[in-house]
Amino acid sequence: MRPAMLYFNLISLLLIVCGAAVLGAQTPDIAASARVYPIVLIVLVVVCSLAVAAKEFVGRATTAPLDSELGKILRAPAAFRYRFLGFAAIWLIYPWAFSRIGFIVATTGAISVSLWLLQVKRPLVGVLAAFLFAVVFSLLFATVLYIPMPAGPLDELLTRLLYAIQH
Amino acid sequence: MLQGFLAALSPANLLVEILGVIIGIIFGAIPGLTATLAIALFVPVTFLMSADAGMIMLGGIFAGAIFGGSISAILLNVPGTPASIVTGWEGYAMARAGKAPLALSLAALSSGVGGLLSAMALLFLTPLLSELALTFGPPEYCALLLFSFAIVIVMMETPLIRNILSCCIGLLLTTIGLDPVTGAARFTFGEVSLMSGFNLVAVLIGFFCMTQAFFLAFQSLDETTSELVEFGKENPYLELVKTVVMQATTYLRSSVIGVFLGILPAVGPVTTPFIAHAIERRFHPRDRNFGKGSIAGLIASESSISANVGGSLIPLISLGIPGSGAAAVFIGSLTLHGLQPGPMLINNEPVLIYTFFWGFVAVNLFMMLFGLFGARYFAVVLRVPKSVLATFVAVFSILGSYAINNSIFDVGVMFGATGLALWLRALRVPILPIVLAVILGPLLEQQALVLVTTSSSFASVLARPIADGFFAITIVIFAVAIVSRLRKTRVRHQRARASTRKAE
Repeated sequence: MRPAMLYFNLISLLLIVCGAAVLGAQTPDIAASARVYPIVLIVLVVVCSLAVAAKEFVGRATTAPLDSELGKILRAPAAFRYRFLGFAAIWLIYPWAFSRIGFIVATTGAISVSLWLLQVKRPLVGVLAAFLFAVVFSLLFATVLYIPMPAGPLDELLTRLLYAIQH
Repeated sequence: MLQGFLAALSPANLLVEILGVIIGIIFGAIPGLTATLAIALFVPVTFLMSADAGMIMLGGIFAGAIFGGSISAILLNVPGTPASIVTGWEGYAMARAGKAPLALSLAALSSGVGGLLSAMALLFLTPLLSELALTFGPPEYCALLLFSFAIVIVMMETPLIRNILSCCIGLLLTTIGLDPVTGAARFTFGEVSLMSGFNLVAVLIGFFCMTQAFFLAFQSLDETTSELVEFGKENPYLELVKTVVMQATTYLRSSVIGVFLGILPAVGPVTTPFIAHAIERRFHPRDRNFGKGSIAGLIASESSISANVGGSLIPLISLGIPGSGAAAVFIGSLTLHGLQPGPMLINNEPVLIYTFFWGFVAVNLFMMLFGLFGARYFAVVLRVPKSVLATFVAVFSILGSYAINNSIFDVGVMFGATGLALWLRALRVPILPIVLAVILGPLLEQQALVLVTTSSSFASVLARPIADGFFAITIVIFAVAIVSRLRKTRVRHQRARASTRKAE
């Protein structure tokens, strides 16, 4: 096993143990009858993590060093990796963005950038399709599904338009 | 039962049956989109429907996606879902020999037969199992739940200790929130949103959808276009009728295997066709094409996969224990409608459950018809670029998890689950035991607590034969798994040592 992978595995398992320990430290605040079950599980998580770590450390782990899909991502050319990280970043930012600039603008922006990052053949068509998708879903949420989405300037304009049509 | 039959044939339910099957076939046909992903994405949508329509739609998506996977397996040799690998061996070889229409029709017919038989099993076995489960007390439930965990832990190919770790992490996650018996807050760190624990649907979307969006995004960056096999113009229907007569036992045998394996937790549609195919091979020792274009092999694979779908729903409805990962996601829809899967469900909501059962029969009929007469048209979706798929799976994952409670917190939970799934994947810790633990954890805790407080002694637990049986099987399963794995490791070490000696 490559040392980098070994360190990753050991640090990860240590983090799991730490996470379990943090939960364990909380148990005295829990009512006596409600804490036995989690304590048993915390002990099991710690024991299993240490057992896996010990097995890794003495080099008895026999499975493949890294999941093949993840391995491909890590071994990909830098340009691919940046685009992939950009894709992940866009979708992580998207929920934060739509609660601030509104559903239509955030969705159009996120889909367009995502398609551009993933090298879709016609990015302009992508922008148009993204806008259409955002408007259609905004209408669907407002009139059929009754899901209140955060509103930005465009969403408010659409709501006023809908109100004008209905009355 | 009659009321359920009539309700399943109402125009609204017929519409969701057709819609579910079409959505399922489209999702299944596209490589990278799995049945589990399709169900997880559509669980929030079912909240807007009545409970029966929602369940039927998910049943349609489940059955349709499992069949849809065979379209790309046969025409591209790229299984649309992991369940269609064996279908690809047989079907692609047939398609290359100019028999694509026959291969697709055979897949549709086999899926239909397997699905219909499993629907019948669902219809008649579930009430029996529910009735039996009504006699269960806390000892039986604890034993059954431990048995389910044992099967999942043993069936995963990863080392046992990692599977146990995965299961324990899942169980520990379910302790966050209010204690199910006393209502005391646990591990909430003062956060009000954590009081009700993590939303199950958001967690499942994170595990199955957002992670897949990331993998699809990466695959799209070095996507190579595969050529579809020439479809051909032959009329396969006469030969199809011939197979029904000649291979009737293959249809039946593989369907029964599929239903049986479906009932067992963790033996989902991915493992089933391999087992059914291997068993069928023994009945066709002279078939030289077996594994590379055999009609019997294709029937065995497809019948067993579809039969597994209905089979996996039997323990889900009757005991509350899902038979596969996709069936586990089904629970999300039930909880959204305030329904608790388990033996009381069929007693409290008989019309709803029988509507779903009959709806599932109809779903399989529609799937067979669409497959027989429209599979070639569904093949069009194979041309959708993965960049578009990745983008829309991502956006629907986020909107789906937001729509459950109109809460950004659930989106955060979904991303947390995605991160956890990817991290554990890097650690080679399987995700399925966590999924099962997240679903069954609260029930296990509740039953264990009742068992501890109500049982006067250990002997009183031992006096329950069903519980004893499950405990005994669990111990045997673990013992066998440990011994066989130790033996395999020893053989591997001996081989490694021998090859080192040779090299020296």
